[in-house]
Amino acid sequence: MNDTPAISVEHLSLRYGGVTALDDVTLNVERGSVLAVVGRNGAGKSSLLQCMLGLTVPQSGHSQLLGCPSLDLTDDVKARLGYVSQSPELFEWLRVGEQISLIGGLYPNWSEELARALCVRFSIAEDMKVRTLSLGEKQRLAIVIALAHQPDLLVFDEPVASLDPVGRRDFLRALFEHEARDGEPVTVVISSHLLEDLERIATHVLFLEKGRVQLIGGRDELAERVQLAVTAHAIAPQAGLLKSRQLAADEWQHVVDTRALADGALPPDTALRALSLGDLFEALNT
Amino acid sequence: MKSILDSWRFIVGLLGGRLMIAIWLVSLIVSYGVLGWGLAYPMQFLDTHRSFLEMAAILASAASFGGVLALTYLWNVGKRYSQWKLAPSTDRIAAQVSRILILVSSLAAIPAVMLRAYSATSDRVWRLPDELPSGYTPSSSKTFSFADVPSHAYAAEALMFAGVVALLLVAFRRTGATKTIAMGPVLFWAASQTTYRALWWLPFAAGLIIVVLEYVWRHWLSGRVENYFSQMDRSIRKKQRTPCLTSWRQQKAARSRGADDVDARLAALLALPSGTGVTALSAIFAALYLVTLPNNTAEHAPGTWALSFVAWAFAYLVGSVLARPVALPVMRLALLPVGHRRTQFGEVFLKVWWRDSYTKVLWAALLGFALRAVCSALGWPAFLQSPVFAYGPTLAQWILVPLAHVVGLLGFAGSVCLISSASPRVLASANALTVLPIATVILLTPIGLGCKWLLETNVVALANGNLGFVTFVLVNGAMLPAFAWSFTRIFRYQWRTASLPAISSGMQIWSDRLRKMSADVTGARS
Amino acid sequence: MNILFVIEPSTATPIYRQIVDQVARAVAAGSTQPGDELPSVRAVAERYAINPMTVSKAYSLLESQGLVERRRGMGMVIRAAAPAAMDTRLALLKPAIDHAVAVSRQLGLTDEEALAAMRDALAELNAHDTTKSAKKDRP
Repeated sequence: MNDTPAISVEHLSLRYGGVTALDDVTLNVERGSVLAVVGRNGAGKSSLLQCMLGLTVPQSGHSQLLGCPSLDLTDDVKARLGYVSQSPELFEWLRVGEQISLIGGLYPNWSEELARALCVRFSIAEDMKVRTLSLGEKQRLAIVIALAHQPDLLVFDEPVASLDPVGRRDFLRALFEHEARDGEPVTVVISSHLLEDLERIATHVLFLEKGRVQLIGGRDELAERVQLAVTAHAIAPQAGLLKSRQLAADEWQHVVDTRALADGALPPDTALRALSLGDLFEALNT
Repeated sequence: MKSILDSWRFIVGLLGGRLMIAIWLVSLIVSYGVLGWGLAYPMQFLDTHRSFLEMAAILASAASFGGVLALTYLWNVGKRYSQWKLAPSTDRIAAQVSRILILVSSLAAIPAVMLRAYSATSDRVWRLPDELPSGYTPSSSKTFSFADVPSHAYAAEALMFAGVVALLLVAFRRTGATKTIAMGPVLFWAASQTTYRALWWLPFAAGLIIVVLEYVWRHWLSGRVENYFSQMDRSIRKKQRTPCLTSWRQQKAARSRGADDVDARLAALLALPSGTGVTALSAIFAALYLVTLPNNTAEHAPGTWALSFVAWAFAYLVGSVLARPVALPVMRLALLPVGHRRTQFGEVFLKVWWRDSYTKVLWAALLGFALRAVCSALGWPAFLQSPVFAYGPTLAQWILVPLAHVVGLLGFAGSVCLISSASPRVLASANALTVLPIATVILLTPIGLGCKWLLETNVVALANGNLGFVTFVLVNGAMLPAFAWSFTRIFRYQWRTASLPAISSGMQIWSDRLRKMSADVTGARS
Repeated sequence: MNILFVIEPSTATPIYRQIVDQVARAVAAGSTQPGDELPSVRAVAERYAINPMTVSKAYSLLESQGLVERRRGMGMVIRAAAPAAMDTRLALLKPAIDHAVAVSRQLGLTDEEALAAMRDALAELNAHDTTKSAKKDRP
């Protein structure tokens, strides 16, 4: 049970309206990892998350969640799943307290004290009508609902876009505070533009570009492996050369995977610079 | 020069676009044309051309009232669009447009008043002498023309017109009228006849109610309550309030965990999406409809009204008001561990909307029956006792006819729900959702009337007045829903590959649009 | 235990490595006593809003390097050991020196100017903090 990856995606392709949202995406998310999904707008982050959860039907490919096919999730799997979508989807006609307890009552692991504590922590008043909440408050409410039943697998699609910096820190803290069932660590998949937040918590990073996997790996491993090289000339495309850009007449910037790159591909004495997530993102996407 | 053109284009857009302007112009031209025709040619007694004059009167009145509403809208446009306040020379343009609107309204008012006086007088003189209101001499000749209209008729119509205009200005002065919500009273007033003396006060009463409601809303229900109860008070009161309803719902949902009890669980969660306000309003509206149901004066033919298309169309109109789809958080529903399969998703929408609709219909029936009994017992108000809307003393007419209408409303509302929830591609498009109520009515009305015609031509017994309501019940309670149900079967395959996020975002956009419209009505800042 | 970590997530150095370096520096400088307890994994994760796995990775690495050990009922404690050898400390200093050298080169300073600036800085530090300078070994 511990060996199966939390999420397994194979050759997922999604097209709609003439746009290719996902193009042959394959990846595995190990249990207990925190996967940051990073990419420009329209790179396919939301589509990937939605296909993983079975909300969208892909044209081809297969996706599994906790050992269950995404398009046919069992109640057991759904009960261990928490999802916050890009725009908070809530039952507008209920009050906050009712919403939390009615939805929570459908989950076996829901804890009312935890839900109350989370409400206080995220400063949401329980007797307000959901209709009257601001966007940031609705987002926080969606996060509370996702966390209140202590899920094993959390999927967040830009959950903190409308939160202020304090709210975002609180969110990051709250992710790791509760123990999942059986003491197993919680698996988190989170897509966000706020890379400073992701850098604090991510164990793995996935870079998407135009629906394709650009780069995927452990966060620390990537930091040590993927570096920026500056040369005077262009380099032929090859394994290990992730992206090249010409900055000036005799200045080329390359993002290289030092372990996959063949010896001698780079001229000797080439300066190599380690990259932060933000720099890597920029280098890969411009 | 260019910027002035742009501003004018903006104004035209604000007031409803070129279509609206065209409708105005056409109304003006048509009403003047008809007025000229009426001045030139006298009408015969039973001439159906008289209805043209009445229609022209309605058009001209609507154009005139519309101009007044547009004026109030213009007064309040700064509250809605901050760019308006910030752009240069908007004051000058607003003044120019105001002058034009006043001109248009006044121009339209002339044929409106004249034609209304004409049709009101012609209605009055062509009655039996003992039914004539005072001040009118019975018509001995078989023709009628403008020469026969007494001057006090013009004065009365002009006075009433001026009264309605004043009411509109007062009622919408602070919020500004919106295109959709204001059309209701406009059409009502435009079409209201002063033929029956009992009715003349109705528009003023309605206007007064609007003003009072607006005042109450602003000062008691929305702003003041929020100011009065602070956050702390609210939370204290919350703790003291016994959450019995909430815990009941929760317990019910928790207790029902079997796979076949999905309905109960979802019902507990999805109760009353429309909110008490909307439910109450639609229930009251439908109740009033039930109270003023068309009936037959003759005892033995309680279903004659069902022979007329107009009655059916009106019933469909009311039914469509009761069956408005509501946005649902579909992705959240998909991920709830309640045993749903993807292909069942259309049914979720159907069940929620249907429950919403029949709740409103049942409340309307309750209210309607009660009101109807009270009104006929009191013999008041007068307009409900008019010849067209007489009650018969028989139980059949008291019960069978309204019951037939309730069944008809339920069936029609159910059909609208069925059709609305059939296709996920429709649900994913905010534009499609916006026109869905109108489109379903337009689709179902000819089907319903076609089924009626089919039944009447093939089953002789239904063609006479006795069993007209049976036709009504059969068509609206059975045939229409069956037709609508077939829609759900046809589009079922689409749910297998439906994109729930697309539905979610489509519904989100649509419900934002609705919220903006209602915010316009109540004058809340968006 | 009052090691105050300075976590900078948006740099190229992974967070676990920052923690390891900071603990190593503190131990090497002698500002910790053997037996001092490191803050718990949860406490660090909570305080700096980072992934607890990162913290435990850092602690495991420190344990394998021999700087800390796990004691029952107490968590991670600093191991009793002699102050680190000169080599280790110089190795820990090297990144800062490299950076200073790079900056001085960018500014176009000569070697003598750079060294003079370094000496001035040391003199300033010595003058203002005699207590601390007594603890430091002579370079």
